[in-house]
Amino acid sequence: MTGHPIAAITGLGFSALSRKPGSSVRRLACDAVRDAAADGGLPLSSIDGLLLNRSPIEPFETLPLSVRRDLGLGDLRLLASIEGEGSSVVQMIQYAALAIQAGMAERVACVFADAPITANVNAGKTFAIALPITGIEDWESEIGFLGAAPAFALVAARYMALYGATPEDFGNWAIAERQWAMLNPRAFLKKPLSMDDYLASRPIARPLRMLDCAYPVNGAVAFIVGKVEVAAAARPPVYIHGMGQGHSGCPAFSDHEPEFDNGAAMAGRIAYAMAGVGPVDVSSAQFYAPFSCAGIVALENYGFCKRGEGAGFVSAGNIAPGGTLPVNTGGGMLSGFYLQGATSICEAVIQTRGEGGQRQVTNDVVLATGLGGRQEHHGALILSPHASLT
Amino acid sequence: MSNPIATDEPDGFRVGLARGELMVMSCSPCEAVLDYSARYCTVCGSPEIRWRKASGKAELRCVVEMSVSYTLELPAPFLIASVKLEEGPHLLAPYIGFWESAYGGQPVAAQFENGGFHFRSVAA
Repeated sequence: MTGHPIAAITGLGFSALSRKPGSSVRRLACDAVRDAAADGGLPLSSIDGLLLNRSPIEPFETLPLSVRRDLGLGDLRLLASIEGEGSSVVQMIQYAALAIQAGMAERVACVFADAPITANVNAGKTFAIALPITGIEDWESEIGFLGAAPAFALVAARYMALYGATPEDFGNWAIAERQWAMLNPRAFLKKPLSMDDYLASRPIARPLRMLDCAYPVNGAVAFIVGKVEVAAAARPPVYIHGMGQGHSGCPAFSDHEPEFDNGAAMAGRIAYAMAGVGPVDVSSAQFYAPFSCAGIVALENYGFCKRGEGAGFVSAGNIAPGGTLPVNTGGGMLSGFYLQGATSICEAVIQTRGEGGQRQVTNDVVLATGLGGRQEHHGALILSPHASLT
Repeated sequence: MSNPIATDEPDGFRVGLARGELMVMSCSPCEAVLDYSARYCTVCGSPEIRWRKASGKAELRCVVEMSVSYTLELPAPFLIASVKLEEGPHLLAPYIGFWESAYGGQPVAAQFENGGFHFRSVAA
């Protein structure tokens, strides 16, 4: 199938994105699906499949299958809630593409919605849930290892221990994302960021500083996945050429490094092979990087540099505007906005369409990734405006 | 040798800690030491897992400082280490020392003091 697309993303829609409490997750999801359908230029009633993704830390009821009724959709040929932690948005698009390719459905809406900002509770507290790491039941909560931040601080600390990365390397990631954010009208943090500002930001889980962490917002993003033949008529088309997943089986044992050998390289290999491309062909990479260190590790796992060289690659200016590999061109999760898997994929669609405005870069082959848990779930997509990559 | 912990005790790790012993999981038939997430032997496939006393010696992998307090019981800052036990498994545990002077590869040891359990750096 190399060189022939699997399916296409034919619609992209947003709810309002906000740092203030407001609409329910369910309502945000509906707003985004309606916007995506309108963007695709077809009536909402033409949607024949719906895939939902709520935050893995929220109960099922926040985004139940009955969202279908809220939207007033008729009989559906596909309806499910997808849960693969932060890799879920990539997974939804992959399952929609497979269903379309197999003839099960023709036009599938995939929506992620979340509202982590609630009255009297800050986002840090919302996300301060222990991630299982050791395998000993509840051990992480017992020792106070709460939230995603320490789980990723472990990645940063181990990276520093093995490869001698400095705080400035992580700072350069944050600064590059801020530079991109300054070019994106939808980004939330657009004040220029200096290394001094970065180094002065308060510790959250050392070595992580506040400015190493994602900036959560309330909102929803929806994607319509449709048939390749229909996309040809759409302006501009976004073809899905490659799809891969990787779920880490690396044990926390002996000389294994589960912080780095985490499944992303597998997701990348499969997606690249399916599309018939390699890292050298990638025009821009849109990574799911909720913390600066995760982006540095992703650069290595997706084949842009060798293990241990990601930090130097970032500090040499490669990922920033004007660099050799534009990365997270919407400002990423640190300065753009954090809506889990939706952040990287919506920017990938915008870039592939050529609708990036001031931040638009070359877009022949766009890599978009998802990452879940403490980096043990990964999904990758290869997108292109071209129907053929050969 | 202390009394063995029953093979079907799922919380053997905490039973061990309560009596001042750090435990690791190992396979009864083939005696392979397993990582803490294993529920079957990763070498021979046996479901018969038992808990056995570890030496307490380990190598420091890295240290994270919990810089923000989320609960009243555990006020920040405090340190958590990722260690590689002599027997093989990685473990997260409280660490006594300084974040600035902790480095990967440093020899550390499990200590039981004042009813608590933590790792601390030791002379090589």
